[in-house]
Amino acid sequence: MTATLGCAHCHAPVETDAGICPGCRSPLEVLVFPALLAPPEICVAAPVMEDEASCFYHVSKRALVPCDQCGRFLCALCQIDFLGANWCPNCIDTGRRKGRLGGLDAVRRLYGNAALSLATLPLLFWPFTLMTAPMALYVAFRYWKAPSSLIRKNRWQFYVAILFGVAEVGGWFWLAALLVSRL
Amino acid sequence: MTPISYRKLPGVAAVPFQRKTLWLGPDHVLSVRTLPFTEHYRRYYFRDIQAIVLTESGSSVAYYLYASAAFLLLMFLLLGYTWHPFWATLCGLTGAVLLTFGLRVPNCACYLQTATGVVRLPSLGRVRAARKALAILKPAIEGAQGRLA
Repeated sequence: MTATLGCAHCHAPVETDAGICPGCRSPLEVLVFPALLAPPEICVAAPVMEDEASCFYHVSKRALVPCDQCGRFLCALCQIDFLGANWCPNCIDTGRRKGRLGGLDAVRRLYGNAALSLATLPLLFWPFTLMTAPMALYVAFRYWKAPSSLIRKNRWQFYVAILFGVAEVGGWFWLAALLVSRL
Repeated sequence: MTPISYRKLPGVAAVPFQRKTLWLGPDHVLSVRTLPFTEHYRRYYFRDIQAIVLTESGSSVAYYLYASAAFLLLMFLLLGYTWHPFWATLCGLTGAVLLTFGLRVPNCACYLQTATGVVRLPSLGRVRAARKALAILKPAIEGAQGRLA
């Protein structure tokens, strides 16, 4: 096998079966997979012939499979193999916009962490809690059902934020009642 | 759509307010960069991974940290023996902190190659963690692509 890779340390080209980098003499461990040697995949959609179904998006191309979501016929250019099913570009785009395809998200906001920070960090300088406690409660309730982390499914931050938020708001009400009763 | 379940791979790269980890999905590796209020994801599908290169690179910083920690721990013993509790505790704690930092300094670099480019996997910065992670990744990738003859 003679495919060439780069050393992770000095970026010198190394053979796939090299145990030591010829550039920096660092010990190397190289794992090579068949995709490295596979010829580049060229996607060619065949033209449609008579009595054949055509692609919904390219009427001059032959349909290969239907979209598993909307049923539209797709050519080789439009077929997307995703999550073990055939998808058309339109269904992928719609699913991504509506948040149904969590598997495509590149960024997720951690509203639980935001609510928890708003509820707990201002305790270091407690007068700020007059503003931040209601904000923490708002964030916790407003984004309760918002998609959270892809890797951690628990929502303990929301519960703790609500607990602290309620306690802080209750504390402020108690303080206000105490002041009013003394006037 | 059922949520995808992920399994954490060994190794973590942590700097203040940022953690980088790798997670194993059903057909891809998920690289996660966690900031205080957001998570950023990159997916590397098993069928697209061409190679993984791991290079051991001894760090001189780690050796300095180990030497300093050894010196401070020796001072801890000596000062403890001569009954100077304050200075002994200070030396012991500082030595322990330096030892912890030394054990966390990256001593290898791991790169993943696909048809579109080469990316570094920062969470695989320690040889032991990297080997463990690669032992999990290799069969998963070979399951998707097959083995090289």
